[in-house]
Amino acid sequence: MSYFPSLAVFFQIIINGTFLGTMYGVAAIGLSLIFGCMQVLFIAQGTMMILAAYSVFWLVYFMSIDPLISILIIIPVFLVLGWIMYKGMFQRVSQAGPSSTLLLAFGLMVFMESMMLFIWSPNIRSVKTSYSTSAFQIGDITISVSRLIVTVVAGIATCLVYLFLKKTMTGKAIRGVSEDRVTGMLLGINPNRVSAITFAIGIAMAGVAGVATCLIYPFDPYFGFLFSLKALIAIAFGGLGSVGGALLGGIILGILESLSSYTISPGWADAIAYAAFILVLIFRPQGLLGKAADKV
Amino acid sequence: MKQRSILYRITIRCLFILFIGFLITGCSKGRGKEIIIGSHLPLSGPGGLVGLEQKWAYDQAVKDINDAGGIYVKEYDAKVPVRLIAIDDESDSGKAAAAVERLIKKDGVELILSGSNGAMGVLPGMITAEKYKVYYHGTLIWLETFLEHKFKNCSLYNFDMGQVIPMCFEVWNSLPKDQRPKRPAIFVEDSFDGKMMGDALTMFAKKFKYNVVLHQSMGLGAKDFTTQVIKAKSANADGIICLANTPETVTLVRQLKENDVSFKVFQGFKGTWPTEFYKSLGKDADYILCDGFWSEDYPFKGAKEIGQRFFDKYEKHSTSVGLYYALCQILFQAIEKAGSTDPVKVRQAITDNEFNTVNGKVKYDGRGVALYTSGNFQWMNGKQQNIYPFNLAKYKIKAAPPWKKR
Amino acid sequence: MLRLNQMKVHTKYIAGLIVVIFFVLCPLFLNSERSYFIYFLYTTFIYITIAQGWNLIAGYTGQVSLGQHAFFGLGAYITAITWRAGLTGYFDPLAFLLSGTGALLLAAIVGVVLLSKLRDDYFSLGTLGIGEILRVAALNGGSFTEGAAGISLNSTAYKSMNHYYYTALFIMLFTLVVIVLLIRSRVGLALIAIREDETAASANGIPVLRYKILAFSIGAFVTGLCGSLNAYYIFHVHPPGVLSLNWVVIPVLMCILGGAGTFMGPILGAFVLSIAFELTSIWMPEIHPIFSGAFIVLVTLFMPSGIMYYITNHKSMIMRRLRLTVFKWMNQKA
Repeated sequence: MSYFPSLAVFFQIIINGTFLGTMYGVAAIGLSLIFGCMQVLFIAQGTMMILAAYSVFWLVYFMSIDPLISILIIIPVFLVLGWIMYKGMFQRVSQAGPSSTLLLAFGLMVFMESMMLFIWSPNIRSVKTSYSTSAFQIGDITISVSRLIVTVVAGIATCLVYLFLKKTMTGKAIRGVSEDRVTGMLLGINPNRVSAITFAIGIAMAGVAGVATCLIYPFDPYFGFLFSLKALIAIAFGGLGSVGGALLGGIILGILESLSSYTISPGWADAIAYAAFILVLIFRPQGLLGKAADKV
Repeated sequence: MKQRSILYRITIRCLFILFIGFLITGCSKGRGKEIIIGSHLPLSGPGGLVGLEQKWAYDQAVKDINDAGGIYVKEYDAKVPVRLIAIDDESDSGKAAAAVERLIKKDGVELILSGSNGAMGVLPGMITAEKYKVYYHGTLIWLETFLEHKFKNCSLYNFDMGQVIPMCFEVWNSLPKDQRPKRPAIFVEDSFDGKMMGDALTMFAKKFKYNVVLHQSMGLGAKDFTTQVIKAKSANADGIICLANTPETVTLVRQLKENDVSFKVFQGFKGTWPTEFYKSLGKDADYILCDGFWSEDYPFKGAKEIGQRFFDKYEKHSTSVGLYYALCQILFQAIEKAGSTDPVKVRQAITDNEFNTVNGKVKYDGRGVALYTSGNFQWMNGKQQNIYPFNLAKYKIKAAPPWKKR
Repeated sequence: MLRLNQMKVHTKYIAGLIVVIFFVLCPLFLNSERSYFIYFLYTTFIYITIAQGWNLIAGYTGQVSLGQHAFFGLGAYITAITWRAGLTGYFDPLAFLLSGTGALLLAAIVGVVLLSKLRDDYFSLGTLGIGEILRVAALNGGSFTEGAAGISLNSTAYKSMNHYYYTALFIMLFTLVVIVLLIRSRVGLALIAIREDETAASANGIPVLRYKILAFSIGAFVTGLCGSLNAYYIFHVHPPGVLSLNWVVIPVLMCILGGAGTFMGPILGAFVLSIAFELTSIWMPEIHPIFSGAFIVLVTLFMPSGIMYYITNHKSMIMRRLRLTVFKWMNQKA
């Protein structure tokens, strides 16, 4: 404990790490779902988040509604968008193997980034709310209101997706296809329909993450790529394909970054995160938390 | 089998046709009586914010000179209009070099107006221009870097590290003694500029007898600065000099406020001057300082007008368009004085003459370097108020009250 | 049948030879200091080399690496550091060799660790991490790598574009020859066997790990050479420049676009993508990234396995259409 001047500082760092990690985690959930069901590394996830953030920006700007309420509009829109993207593009391409879908995702990323650049200009945009910079104190620990809201929203979203996968027939079908596509087909599940639903949910989660982004950060069209990278690490921590694991993995990553940034140096924090990521991949490829066959 | 070989031949023929097409496009050079000036700007990528203003200023300068009939060139004995070819370098050093290659080789440009972004744009641009002995009319790169490469075909019109760093501390010293910060913290991003500036800041702080209590780096694109904020709090820092991009700086300021860490002076570089910075923070951005290349309040001819034109177009104030406009003015005047568009003659005219611009009088030295004084501004009610250089500034710096007293 | 086969091989070789001779002669007809075409070829050669290096490990062996920029950057840094220290000079073969070997060693070490443990997407993610770690290490390398400021090299040493052009051409030809020899040999068969079914390959006595590392290292070696050449070209080696993800993404795009796991694929892909990028940025300077993105999306949609597969699968149809078009065109002329 000699690294930290006091216990309060230690807890403060843990809490800040958790808040940061929730951002990574909420970006990772959709990625993890899509990967689990289709073996697609959808690296445009971060860019989808920024697209959602810009949509929120417009909703706030033109209709002056609270960004939190805009979730109710963003989620259905992005569900439909995800469905269309799967039916129009990924269904076709996914037969050609993972490298082609990776290429498609990359192409989409470049395309959307430049479309956003064209529509909204490279100037940064931001959404200001009454709670943007407010915080409250518990003892010596400061808690940021906007980040707390994001954490709660992420928690709720994860729970809903988790319940959907556990309780509904469609959710069970998704899990079945994720575990074994061929057996799923033998049992009469239409893998394309299931994949489309999963993809739609994944994109909708990017929408939720986008709302979270614009609550906390100013953004420009290129703001999302780092989230995609960090989300990849998060899902490796949590176990590829697991939903709860993705959020937890993100939080672990956030805490790891905060701690190493405080104790060593902010410059090395990234390297430490990546090194931990590779170690996890090597020694616990099922994720830090998962059992080998447990995919949710 | 036979079909395949035919296919093979046809593919190769197609490739040949494409090559020949490229040879033709590659060989086509600009012709006719106009002066072609090239420029590579970060129109997309993270530098897009800067590139947009720069392109606007270049376009205005070209429009103004063409409205006046063009530049009188002795070689042609006529007024010749100017055409600007501005291409995108995607804020990437490799692409910047490629962009300059294209300007020189495809468009046949022999005079290049500066790109942006220092090591990510201007430096590779200058190195490439130097290779083909094309004149590069540069700005926005550190003098040290410029001299290190011993450029013979480039020039530099920029502010100097030896001026801009002392500027921070001089501005601090202009505050009443009890309001001055005593324990400055330095936050710099992990980039070329950040590294250069961080080193220089530490050096000059000692000279001005400021004891730097904290030196932290900020990752490019990092999303959380709470650890830096906590360290600033425990080091009890009361002044900050921060060099980072706009999104990072906004995040930092928001987290400073959340954690109730107040600074008497927040000197921002690079990230704090855009109006979007103010829009993202609103009133919280008041009292924050930003560097700026130029001010529309300067008493030079045309300064007010160009600032007004920018405001009419974008409804915001700029602290940089004047520099880019002045850069064009220098080049146009030099072409007229050289009486030619030959790169060597133009550069000679640059070093030989004195120029009148919206950024004051400019005189280059024998190395092809002209330095101007960088300005310093303070955000107040949505406008960057000019506080430095002291002789031109109409406004005086105010120390920021703590967050709770605002 | 045998005769026909031989003839086909001969025409291939002759066609290849003609193209190579054309490339070798190009600078004699064009002023390389002023010809954009030469520069265009130079960059395309570099991309082809990196794409072929990636093709060997990903296309033939089936291990998708996303860490090629690490080898590229390492090559550039080794060249810069040895030159700054006075150990090597400008366009020093030793520097190239050191850079290539450095990248090869890194690949071997990384390969032993990652390839033995990770498969499929896990390996991709792991290599991506390696590249990022190297970037952070270069950023924090102190006076050894000069951190974010990067290493400035003596740009007055520049002499002629021809040096760059011929070196890039040589590196590319070297890579192509190595790959042809490798693929035609037992090693190539083993690599493809690993891609198709690793367990079966290992059951048949193929030392899977050794071959994977071999393919990975050779790919890294040529990528390191390219990094070295780029350091000599750009004269300023800094992390966002040489360790940029561009150096993995663009070659990978080219390779997949052309057809991974084929010899002509990366070559074709590199030319098509470079030309497409060039033309869009010339014709539509304002909105060129939109078209670059849309181009990639459209190609993956309609040729998801790459151009080469499309050509081989639709050979007769393409031929028929080509003949028809040529026929119509000639009729119109007449």
